[in-house]
Amino acid sequence: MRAIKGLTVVGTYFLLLVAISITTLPVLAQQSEYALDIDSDNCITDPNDEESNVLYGGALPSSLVVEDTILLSQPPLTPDTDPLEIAAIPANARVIVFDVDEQTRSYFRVVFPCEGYNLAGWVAAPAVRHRVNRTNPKYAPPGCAQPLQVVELLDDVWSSTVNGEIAVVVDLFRSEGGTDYPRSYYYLTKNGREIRDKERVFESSGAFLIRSVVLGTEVRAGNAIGFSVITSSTEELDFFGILYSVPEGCEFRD
Amino acid sequence: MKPNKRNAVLLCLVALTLFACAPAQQEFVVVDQRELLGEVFKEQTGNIDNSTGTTLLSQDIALRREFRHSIDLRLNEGARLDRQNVEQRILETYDLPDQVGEKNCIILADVPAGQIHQYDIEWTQVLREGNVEEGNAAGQGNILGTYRIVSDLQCQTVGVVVVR
Repeated sequence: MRAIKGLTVVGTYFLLLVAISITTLPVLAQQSEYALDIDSDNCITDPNDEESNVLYGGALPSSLVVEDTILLSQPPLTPDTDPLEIAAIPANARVIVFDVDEQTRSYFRVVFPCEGYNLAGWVAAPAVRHRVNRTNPKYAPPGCAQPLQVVELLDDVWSSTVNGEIAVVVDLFRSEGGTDYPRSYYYLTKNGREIRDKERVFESSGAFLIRSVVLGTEVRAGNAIGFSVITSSTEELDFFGILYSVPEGCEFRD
Repeated sequence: MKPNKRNAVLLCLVALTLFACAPAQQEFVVVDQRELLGEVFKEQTGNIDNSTGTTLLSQDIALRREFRHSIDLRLNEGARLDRQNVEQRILETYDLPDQVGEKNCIILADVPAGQIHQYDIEWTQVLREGNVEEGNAAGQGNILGTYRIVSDLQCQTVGVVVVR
């Protein structure tokens, strides 16, 4: 009798464990280790297909990724830097290299178009077939800036989780250039109001309208931070932004 | 006192008086505020010739452009500052050794067999804007002036002209 009771208890525990596993496993499986949950293996290009190697209408040459790498919010310039891992970039994908980091010259700032996103960030230079000495240096986000989140859509709104200074690095693209994009204005918004004193004016005939522009502002937890472009154009724009918390004493230039 | 000696003493006195009365240059600090995009201008490459080729010519072409880190400095009336000195300090703020900069631009040339192409390149000035402030630390003194400096250039291909 005692044995049967024991077996029943064990059986119940077993069933409970199975039930818990069934309910939690799919949730765990959905959680990506990167900030963006994309299947970047779908973005490997065929090296023999010349057309697929031309990105953004050929505004700048694309470069081959030669080993699996990770797109970061910033180069790990100090031991305390904790970059956000935005997405995996597989070998044989293609990126456009914009700059190399001024301080170490060992990280490229790139854009990786994949699954409808235009992911901009930093990758280790050896992972990309691109010559460092032909790349223009640029100051990377400082190691003290703490990445918070990425924003992929111009009409996304970020609800602040922090109090204090934040900085947003933004890139604004169109799929290809060749026609004039009129003089337009980019702003941050806070709780729906444009922060007009920090506007950025841009106009271009190219695909890359804004590259790595930094805007900063003071926020309180719960503030809604948005992004606004004032333009007479009806052309659809692609957008990518990274939000950082900037602690006191950390210099992140606008 | 001999005339020569007297003249020398007089000259010294005059020099000392001038030095003492000359308006002393104010202490100032250059305070960077933000980045802006400046002028946009275009140029066309020379011919990229694949007229005798039998396959697609696909290659990266490196362009190099020299430019001036020109400074638009607007000092307030009454600011007792030497313009050249302020401009030098602005250059130092951005680690620019002199007023001439250089920029690389790599463009992609894809020219089909039998064709000659030229490429339209767009250059966009990147400016830094800031204040010249009184004192030796940011945010402590009056604003004595403002400036904009061409700090960088960005490039991209914006068009292709098929010459043949």
